[in-house]
Amino acid sequence: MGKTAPVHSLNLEQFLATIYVDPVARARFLASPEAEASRAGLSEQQCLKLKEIDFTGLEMASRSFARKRASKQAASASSDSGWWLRLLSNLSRQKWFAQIFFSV
Amino acid sequence: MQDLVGMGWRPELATGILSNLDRIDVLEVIAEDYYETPAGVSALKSLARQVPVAIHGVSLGMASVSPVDCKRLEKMARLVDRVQPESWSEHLAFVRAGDIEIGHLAAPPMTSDTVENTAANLAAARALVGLSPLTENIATLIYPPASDRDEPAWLCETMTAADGGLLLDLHNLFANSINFGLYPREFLARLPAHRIHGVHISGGQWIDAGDTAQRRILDDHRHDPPDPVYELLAELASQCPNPLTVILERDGDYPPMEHLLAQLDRARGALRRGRAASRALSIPSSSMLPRARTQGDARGGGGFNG
Repeated sequence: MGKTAPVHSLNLEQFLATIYVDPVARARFLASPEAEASRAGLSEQQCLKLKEIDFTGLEMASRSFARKRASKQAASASSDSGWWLRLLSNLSRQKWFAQIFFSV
Repeated sequence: MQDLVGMGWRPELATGILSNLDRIDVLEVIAEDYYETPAGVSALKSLARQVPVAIHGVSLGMASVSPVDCKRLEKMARLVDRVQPESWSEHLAFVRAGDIEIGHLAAPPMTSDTVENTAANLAAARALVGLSPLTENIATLIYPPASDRDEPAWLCETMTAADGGLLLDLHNLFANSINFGLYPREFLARLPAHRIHGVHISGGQWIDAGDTAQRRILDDHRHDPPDPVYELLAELASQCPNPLTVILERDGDYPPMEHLLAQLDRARGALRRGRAASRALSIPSSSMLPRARTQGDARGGGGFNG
């Protein structure tokens, strides 16, 4: 299934994902774009391209991705607690459950 | 030609949608909402018997140089098999790399590597699901890093390599055009109209870059589609030979249902104008007229879904 991509393309995707989600890695990249790209195993051409990255967009997109991740985590936590609440609510309507746990 | 106009199914809109199915031609549901909920799938099957349903994925990451995850594809295949939607779709984005989840849709570097690997992923998806997906252009706040071609070129090459259909998000096209210095109408004109089968419309807002004076449009789905999106829809309808399924996306700050229904009507109006212009252009004598004049003349005539 799929296709094997050149290593430097896989490295590029990994590198981009890293600087999008990791503020420390992003700061290192912003301080020295070409050196950090080279350290990540990217090709010379990719390093040169990343030197001219859209720096404004990088900050904006990274903030946007962080908000999305936070919102998904919040939704997931809320959904988990909702699941427990629903289960508890349903069980509490069962006579045997109420007798055991609520001493009715 | 039967264009369909509908909206994205969201729990917050459920009551309004169900009580107005006579004004909604089609619904689009988010696939991932149904992967772990057998009861939800049963409800979805029931809904699909009342109104055409399209399934929309957000997590496959088709535009990646890594092969698409088989387990995720199998979930999509099971859902498509059970619901029998009118279509299914995914985004032209990468969403993870290795064990890093980005959390949202990231624009791939626009290169020949991503063209080839996206096409391979789409072929794998087609083989496993048994139905070819439509793929959607995404909005991005960052110009796709390390690209060696622009977005319209990359979309054309990818669609050709994959021999696939496009779900064209007109607000994403509009936002990327404004953010990165393209003309929206030129962007649209460069796309292969014969490959476009679906359309998304939505809205967004300007956001500031922070410590610089720059600002960009964020496609947040919390606002009405702006006027240019409807103009692009009419333009598209004038060029596209396929029936179009148009979905209004809204993901927050929900207005009253009547307001959303009015936007569906506005989309129908734009389609009607575009189709009428297309018919007028197909008349030999009209084709001698300047383009703008021909469209203007055609605006008043013709019926819907001609």
